[in-house]
Amino acid sequence: MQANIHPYSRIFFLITGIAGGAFCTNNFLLLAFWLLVLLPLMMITGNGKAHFSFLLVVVLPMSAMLLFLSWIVWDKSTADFGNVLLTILKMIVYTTIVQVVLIIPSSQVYTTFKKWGMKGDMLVTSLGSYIVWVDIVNRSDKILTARFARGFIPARTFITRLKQLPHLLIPLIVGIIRTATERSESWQQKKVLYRIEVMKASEIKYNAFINAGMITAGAAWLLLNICLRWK
Amino acid sequence: MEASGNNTYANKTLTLAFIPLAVGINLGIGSIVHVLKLPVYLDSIGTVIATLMLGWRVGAIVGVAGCIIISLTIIPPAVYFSGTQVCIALFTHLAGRSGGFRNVFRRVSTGIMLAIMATLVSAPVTYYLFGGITGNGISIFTIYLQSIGLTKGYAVLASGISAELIDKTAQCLIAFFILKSVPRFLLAHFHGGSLRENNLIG
Repeated sequence: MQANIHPYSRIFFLITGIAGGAFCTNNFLLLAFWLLVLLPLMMITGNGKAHFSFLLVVVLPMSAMLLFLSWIVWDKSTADFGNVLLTILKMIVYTTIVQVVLIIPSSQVYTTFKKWGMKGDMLVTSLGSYIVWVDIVNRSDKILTARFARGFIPARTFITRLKQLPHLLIPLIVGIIRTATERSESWQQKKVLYRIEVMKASEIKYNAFINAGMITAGAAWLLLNICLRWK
Repeated sequence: MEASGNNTYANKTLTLAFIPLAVGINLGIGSIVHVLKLPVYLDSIGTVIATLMLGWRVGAIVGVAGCIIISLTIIPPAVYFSGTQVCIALFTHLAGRSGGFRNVFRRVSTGIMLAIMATLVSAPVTYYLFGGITGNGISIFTIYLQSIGLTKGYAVLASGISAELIDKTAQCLIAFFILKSVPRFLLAHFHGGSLRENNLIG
């Protein structure tokens, strides 16, 4: 199941979530917000798997390194692990908020950006930047496959792929520049910039319950942290 | 009049088509370096290339967009260093306009000056927002400097400058080397940067 989130709910949740996090100095509250609000939201929107792999591959090693480094720097008896934990939890909360807001299903990207008030050059740039990662991965894969086929790479392990970096870089960037010029000519001929500007946003059915929940949770999170800060 | 209008439109479409792809250069190289925990960043090559090709505004957009996207996927704190990317674009443009990439000596000098500028901009963010440790390879050096008696502020500054010197000099050299490998007829499409000043196009 994938719940549709309204663009305004996304932006409201982003602002209240990050502002609330900035005021928060309580580790337990941050953990509770992540467990009770952010994690269910990631699951409901169908991004649970992506979130867990992000936690496992990025956040966990980074947190371990932060804890380890802090342990080395400070005297073990006076080490301020509470503060390090606060940094780690804030990092998790901020990143998850951004993930909830910015992981948008491809069918809704155009409508969401339009509703956020983007138009003209900004809209085109944002749409392009949004899909660039897939484009770059595909290109790199093609270059590596070509080198593999020609016998330059003995095995497709991580290390051998890494050794290919210098050989990958130049064809990748030359390809990018060539694509940019070709794409630009094609856009001029097809009047893509004008078409994007006047294209009608598609009608999407938003889930009222999820959207109301997001707005309520965001507002409550911000108010709670403001109240606790100036209690 | 109409020809000039067509040229402006062509430049605009070329810029808009190139920005997302240049963001991809920053993302690709930056994420590999971060995953390997190397004591460099190499996350501004796309910014330098875009600035040299299309000017500082485009470079700044590429840098900031790259920071936002990379913080969603690989490096969560990256978004807080968006200001550094804007300064890199601005400095690269000024250096490029005065021929700062014309020969090896100038490229190395530009890299050194860029490193000093980038450290001065990013050190306060590292110090005040992250307490000196951001979880990348350079943090290990910061810790080492603190363990031999340097205060946190000086440790952040010293580790920053030592890493940035290698990093930014390498980036200037790599960016130029890559642009040099691009056929000139392709580069000739791009205006607003400093390709001509650095003998990259005729």
